[in-house]
Amino acid sequence: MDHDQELIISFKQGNQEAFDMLVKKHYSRAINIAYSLLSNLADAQDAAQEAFLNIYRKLKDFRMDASFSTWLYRVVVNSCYDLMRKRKIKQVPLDDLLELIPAAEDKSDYLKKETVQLALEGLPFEYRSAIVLREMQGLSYVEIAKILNISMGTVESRIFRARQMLKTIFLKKGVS
Amino acid sequence: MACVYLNSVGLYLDNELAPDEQDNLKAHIKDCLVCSAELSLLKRAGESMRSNRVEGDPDAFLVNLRKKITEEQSNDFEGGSLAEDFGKWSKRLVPVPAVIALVAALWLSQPQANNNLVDAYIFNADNNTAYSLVETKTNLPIVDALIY
Repeated sequence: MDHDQELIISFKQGNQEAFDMLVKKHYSRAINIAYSLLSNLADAQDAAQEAFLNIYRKLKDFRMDASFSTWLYRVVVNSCYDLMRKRKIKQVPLDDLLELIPAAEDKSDYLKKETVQLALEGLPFEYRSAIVLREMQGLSYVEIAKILNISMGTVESRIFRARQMLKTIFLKKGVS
Repeated sequence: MACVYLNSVGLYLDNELAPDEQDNLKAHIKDCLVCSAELSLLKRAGESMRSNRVEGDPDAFLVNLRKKITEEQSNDFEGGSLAEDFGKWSKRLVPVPAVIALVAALWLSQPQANNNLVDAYIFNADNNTAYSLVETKTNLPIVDALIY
């Protein structure tokens, strides 16, 4: 039995502090996924809050044979998607994105973290979520398929397309 | 010209190829400028994504989360306000007026061939004049006069 499962059992037995420990343990992971998907810290905080609130509501019914991390990732991604819809946050069109990315003297500067984060905003949400889970969390395609509830082939295609789109943005900026 | 293995570089980077394919591509990338450039670009983009991390404040986050949980629990305990209950139910009831409107629209869109049944009923319950009126139902002044 892993540490997450011990905490969940303890919570089911009425120990509220076990939930707090679960939140603290996974906070960094949740907030970073949300930030990569939303590109805004305040929005990421809100999405992560909503995700943990959902987890709190359903934790008593959590099946112990499932992976808590997989569930957490799924809930966070869904919360980000819901928040984007509610706040009408839209994918930035490629042409607008190219203007938003500041000019750099050195072409390799376009691969700096701020620019890559900006470029992510030009990807459709489904591509963005797949590439973020792969690159930020280092998850395998099998794990991503479980989290996003899609086939392995779809994961492969979404990650491939996400990279192609990012590459197009970098190439247009002269990065080779 | 692009290399035929170019599209597999991402899978190689993610270690998603079969072990022998992984070895073959590794050997190929050493000799292929196109694929090695692709691998380098994908690696740098990935490193940038991973380095773009935020720290936040887990303690403050937990305080806010606990506040929300407490609020929700107190609402559940009180059973929620009447307005909230109506709000929830009204969302579920939205389809009902829509269905009623749809049924009414369909009914009204039917050919109104039976409208004259009212006339027929009225006049059939009357006398021989009624019979002659059904025959002359297009003559509105006569119909109006008799109905009133």
